[in-house]
Amino acid sequence: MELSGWKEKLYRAHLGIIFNRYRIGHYLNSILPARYQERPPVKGKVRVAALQIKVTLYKNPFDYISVMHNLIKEAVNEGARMVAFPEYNNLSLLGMLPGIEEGVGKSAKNKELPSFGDITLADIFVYLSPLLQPLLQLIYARLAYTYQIYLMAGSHIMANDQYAAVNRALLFDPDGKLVGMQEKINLTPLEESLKMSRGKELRVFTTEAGKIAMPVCMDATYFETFRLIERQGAQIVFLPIANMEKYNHWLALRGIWPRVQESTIYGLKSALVGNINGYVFSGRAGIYAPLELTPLKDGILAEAENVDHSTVVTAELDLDKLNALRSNHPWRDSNTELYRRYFPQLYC
Amino acid sequence: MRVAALTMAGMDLTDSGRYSEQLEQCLAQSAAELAVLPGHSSFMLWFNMKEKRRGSFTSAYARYLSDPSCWEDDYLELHSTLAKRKKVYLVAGTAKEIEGNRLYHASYCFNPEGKLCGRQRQTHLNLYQRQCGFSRGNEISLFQAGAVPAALIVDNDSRHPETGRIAVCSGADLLIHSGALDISEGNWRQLAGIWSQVQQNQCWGVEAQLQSTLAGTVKFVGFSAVLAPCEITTDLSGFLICSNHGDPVVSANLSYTDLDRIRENYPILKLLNRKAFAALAQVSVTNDDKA
Repeated sequence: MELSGWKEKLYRAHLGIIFNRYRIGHYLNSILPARYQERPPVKGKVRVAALQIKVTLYKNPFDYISVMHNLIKEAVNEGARMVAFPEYNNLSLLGMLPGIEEGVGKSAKNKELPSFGDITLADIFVYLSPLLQPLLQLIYARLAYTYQIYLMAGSHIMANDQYAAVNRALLFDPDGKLVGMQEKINLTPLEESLKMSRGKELRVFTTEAGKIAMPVCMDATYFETFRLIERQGAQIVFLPIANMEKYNHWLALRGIWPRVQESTIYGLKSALVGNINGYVFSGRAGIYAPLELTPLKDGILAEAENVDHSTVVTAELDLDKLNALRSNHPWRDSNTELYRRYFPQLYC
Repeated sequence: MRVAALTMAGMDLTDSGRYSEQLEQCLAQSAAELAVLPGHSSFMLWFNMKEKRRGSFTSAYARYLSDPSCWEDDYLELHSTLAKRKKVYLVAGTAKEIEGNRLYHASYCFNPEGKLCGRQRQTHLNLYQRQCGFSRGNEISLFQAGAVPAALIVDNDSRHPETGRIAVCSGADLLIHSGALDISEGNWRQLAGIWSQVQQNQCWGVEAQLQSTLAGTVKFVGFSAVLAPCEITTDLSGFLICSNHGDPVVSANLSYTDLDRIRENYPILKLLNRKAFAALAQVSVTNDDKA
């Protein structure tokens, strides 16, 4: 359905009502408890949670908020001070658009990308950005503030300053302040075909629990991502994923797990799972560490038991042990002369 | 091209004639055009043939490093002759190499004419190697193994993905690794090495891991394998073939049809956002580099 003129204005007004900040704020006030009691500062060790979330198209934002809230409550009840959400964490909000399920189902059946005439999925998110971006920030800022946690709100497709679609992760601190954003810098062929824009740099954010980075999904295919992050002093990496393929142990082993081994770093993988009208996403969420720091010497601190249901995975990260391993590592080495010889041609 | 990874499992290493016979049997069994011996192969043969298995690992290794004899020349000559006799590309595992006052850990490949066609010094040392006084090699060299451009990934270099990336971006389609993992490291360590490098570079790998016990105390237990991107292996595991404990050799065929297909369908290296990693090219000399 082509929208223009008064139809478009009417549609935008309709969306404005659905995503109204005051409605959402009022709902948050009604479900959230008083701010969590003062929590002791993080020192040396921090309990973290990686979420695995089953994707659902919600008809109203309150259902979305309720599900996210319940997962955070579960994570906090297990002692988590940091919580990570998956990639495409705003995909579920498309459920509020009329006709979306039919459109998505038709595309999946034809094994095509979701699109509506000339309008792509990325176009839709760019269009919705002025409404969705402030809303998402409101929701996750309140959740972080209430439970006094570092909250990586997953990644979301949204518009950047040039109105191009980016896949952007957001980090909130325990005061509900947005402390960092990270755009996905290595896009999948699907994202490239949607003409999404790539991020330009990798950022590291300082928290009381150490330095954190949050590259997105495909970024973990490349060791360079974690090497750069490690060089900037990061100790913990949040990696939101939304793998659009049937789960396979070996394929899943190609992402964060070897990167954690190569870069002597902690890694959290939070996963979007489930099926939206024929599009399948699979997990699994997990928390990973250098082999030396895991009980079974397998690099796994905790991992979801299934690949297609919502679940919360928690583990404790010992930053002192990580620092000790880094300072006296049995096999890590650096060869500056080699890098100087080859890297300028490779990366510039 | 058919390639093979040897493990030295069950081999009699006390006599050079017997060793050559067993190696020829493995080459015949595998029908490989390129065969790879595991890491520390020169040291293993020295320890068995010359030292008659005297002493602990640490003391034996120290004697090996300081041995002034022409052992390495004889070792390489033996494998050059074998390569020529069997008309194969033969990677002679790893050996020590001395240039001036510098000591290197290196890997060598001989072509079917018995000539040295590939040589690579280890570029990233582990803690023990730095304590032993090894120096780092500073380049990654490619060579032609028949129609396949290849690079040698020596020992600890398998855990440093810079090496595979440089090799593949320089044109290598095959990473050849000679390694020796002791039992304390575990198999998970191995998956973070060449297997991971093959996946993130969409190339092939031949990984020859030593399977033997040295000085009665140090047990090398890595599995040997021929590797490829997961999508072009039958069970998506990334293994075209993988050894069981005790197998002296494993072999498999490499197919450019399959490799080109996955590179076309999902071109990982084309999707790599190189400019975003430009900061990696800005490096400064550290104390670590003085070896």
